[in-house]
Amino acid sequence: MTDRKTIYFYIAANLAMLIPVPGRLAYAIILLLLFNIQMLASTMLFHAIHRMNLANMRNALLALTIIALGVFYKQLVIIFCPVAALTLSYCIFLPTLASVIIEFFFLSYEHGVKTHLMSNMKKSFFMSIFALLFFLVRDIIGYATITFPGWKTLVVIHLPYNPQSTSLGVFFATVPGSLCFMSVLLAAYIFVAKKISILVNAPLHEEEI
Amino acid sequence: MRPFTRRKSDMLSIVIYYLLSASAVLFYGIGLNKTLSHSNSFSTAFLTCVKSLFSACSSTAVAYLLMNWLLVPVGLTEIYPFFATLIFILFSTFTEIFIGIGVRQSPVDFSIPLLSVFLALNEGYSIGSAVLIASMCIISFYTMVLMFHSVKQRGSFYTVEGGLKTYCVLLLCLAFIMIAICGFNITWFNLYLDGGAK
Repeated sequence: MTDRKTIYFYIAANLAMLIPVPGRLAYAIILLLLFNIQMLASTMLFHAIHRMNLANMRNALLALTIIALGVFYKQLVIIFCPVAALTLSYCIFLPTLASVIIEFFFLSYEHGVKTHLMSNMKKSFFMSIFALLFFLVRDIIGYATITFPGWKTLVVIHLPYNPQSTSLGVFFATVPGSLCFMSVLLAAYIFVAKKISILVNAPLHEEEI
Repeated sequence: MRPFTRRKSDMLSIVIYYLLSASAVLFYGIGLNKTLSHSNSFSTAFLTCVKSLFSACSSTAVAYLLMNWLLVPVGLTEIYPFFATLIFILFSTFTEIFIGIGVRQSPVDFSIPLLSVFLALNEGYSIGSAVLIASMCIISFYTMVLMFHSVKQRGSFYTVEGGLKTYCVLLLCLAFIMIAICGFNITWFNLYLDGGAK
């Protein structure tokens, strides 16, 4: 699978995390941090289980460890930003399962743990940037704010316009709005990636001629 | 209203709420990616549905009881996902042994009932309601799978070269379905279930 398609798969696997979560940047930062930690932990765990020859118990061990990590992270969020923990509720376990699905799909022990880890983290980094952009646009258009997680509260920067006066951008703050926006973003991503791949491949053709 | 009738009405509102207006797929995002890319045959999907229903309902019931007897008295309810996962793995293995013949369980099939169990334990106010929520989540997921299978079949006739990809079209369809269903939720459907406008 090419890198472009892999990142597309990452986004598709994370739809459950991107769509139902409230469209605020602060929540995205919290969830994406967890997603990256889970990707790191699950990759290392897969390799550890493989080295210890515990393949029969792999799924159970992985599920329990990853969920335990999710529970621990939620406790930290409750301490640092209780508002976010309350709003996200059980959504905090969505990145956990997304990371497990991705790990299962791209599982390989051939190139060693370091290469596998680097490749996975690179893709999750790109996916995180895409998701942050998605949430930032929804935050700006939908709520006319930019939010960040702060100590015991959310840091809200109000933008100098009120979306509720016209209800123009409020649609993007809703779940159907986020689906429509995601569809447009995915179409744009495919279009741009295709153009880039044409540009990258162009000099090779010239040399061949 | 008599208690029994009230309970029946509560259960009916749970069924309608978690099946339609706050469907697991549309509102909570459970199995959203799988709905759009499900490619199993009808018989396989049916068998997976039965397996998921059995494992989700049984583990919800046991986890709810354990939560009430063990975790609530010592104030450790926040670690319920860990217990729920442990119990779910146990029941999932049993289900795999007894009715899992011929169907390989993928990690995605594993994640949907597990998330349904979390949701049910999070939002259920009694053991009955928790089990009902878990089963409604599974049923709503497979209803959506059926619906989107037909949408995909229909969409395959109109695929245009250089046009929008099927996945993007399916996302838009999902948004329209959600608007249609939520339209019911915010208008007269709730009033009817609550016994008319006050």
